[in-house]
This record gives sequence, structure tokens and C-alpha cells, in this order.
Amino acid sequence: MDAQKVEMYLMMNSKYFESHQIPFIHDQLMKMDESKYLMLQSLDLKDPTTILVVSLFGGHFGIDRFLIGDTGLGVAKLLTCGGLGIWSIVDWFLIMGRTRETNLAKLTQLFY
Amino acid sequence: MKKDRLYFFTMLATIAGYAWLLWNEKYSNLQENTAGTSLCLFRHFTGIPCPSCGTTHALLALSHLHIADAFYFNPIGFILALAMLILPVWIIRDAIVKQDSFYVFYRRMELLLSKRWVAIPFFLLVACNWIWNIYKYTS
Repeated sequence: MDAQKVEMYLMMNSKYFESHQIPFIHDQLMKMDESKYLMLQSLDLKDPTTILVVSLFGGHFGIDRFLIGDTGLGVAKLLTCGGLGIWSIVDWFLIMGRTRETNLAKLTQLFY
Repeated sequence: MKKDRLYFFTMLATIAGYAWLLWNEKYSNLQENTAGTSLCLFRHFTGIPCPSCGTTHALLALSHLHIADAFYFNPIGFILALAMLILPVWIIRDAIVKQDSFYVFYRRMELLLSKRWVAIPFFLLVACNWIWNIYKYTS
């Protein structure tokens, strides 16, 4: 893909990924076919900060996990009072990293 | 979620569940319909029970074979009781015969739950249970 487009994409979307993943994403985007650009633009990435806010207020019901696609864990959280309340607190600290992880997983599906 | 992590956290959650039940059985008086020791954040902050409040009561009632009481306290208790009985055995079996049948099942259930015709009835059921819970525990 065009270097300028890649730079632009990374500038706009770097908050969705871990900073140490950016060089890898850059390399992969450079190798990617131009025809996938539209798919790349329409990829449904989740903002870690938004998910954190959801986790603070709705984490007890597993809504944060449902939103990022961890349906199984969401159900487990919902049915166990947020893991006896402990898991929902632990998730306040883990959920941003996990969101970035799932964003990368969605992106890598485009690469291969 | 990777297989090893799933197995580890499922085992951890089950052990925590059993420990929590044993602790409640020993130290809290759940025979009367009192709140007991609640770790539920939602209930602490809002005073309203969450959809799964009462599950500890239900599981303890089930362990004494009081099926009707368990259903009254919270029907979710039946699901968790099944999970707590089956999952450890399943995971140990998978570890012994070196298979990943539980992981495959988990992924399949996740895919199933992301379908609208499964998700909507499921959440409606949970919502109904929540309304019943609020009615039971606040009146």
C-alpha cells in the first residue's frame, strides 16, 4: 500500500493499538494490497477509553466483554455477579489492553 | 482467548467458587432469607440486586437438595451448579487424553451466542430474572 496512506492510517488509528505493535502493523500495511484499503477503513475497531468507561459502569454485567467480542467471558461475568465483584474490578485494569489485543486480531484477519 | 488461558481461568474460577461456597456454608447464616455476605458491587452502590444476586443462596440450597428453594433464590444457580460440577472434570479429562474438546465447545458456544436469535432470548431471560430478583429482594 502507498506509504502516505499507511502513515495517515497509523496517525489516525494508533490509539487503537499497543505502541509496540505499531512497527509490525506498519510493515504489514505496506505489504498489503491496495484493494483492501476500503475494508481497512471500515474495520470496526473499539476505542480502549470508551470500553474502560463501559467497564467502570457496566463491567459488572459483562457488557465490556460483550462489546469487545469475548462473549463467553461476558456471560460468565454476567452470571457470577461480575466474578463475585472481584473480576469486574480486575477488568478495570485489564480491559484496555485486551481491547487493543482484539483490535489487532481484527486487523490481522485482513492481512492474511 | 487462547486454550491454556481459558483452561487456567476456568479452573481458577471453579476453585474460587467452591472456596466461596465453603466459606459461606461455614460462616454465614443463609438459612434465613437475609442478605448474607454480598460481594456484589452493584448492590452495594445502588441498593438494587443484580441479575445474579442470590446465586450463593441457590447453590447452597442445591447442595442441601432443596431444589424449590434454589429455584426461588435464583435459577441461575442451576446453570452455575452444572458448570461447577462438569467443567473441572472436563478440563482434567482434556488434560489427560490431550484433547481440546472443551475449548472447541467454548468457541462454538461463543459463536452461537453472537447470533441474534440466540442472544435476544438469552438476554430477555436474564432480564426477566433480574426483574424477579428486584421484586424478591427489595420488597
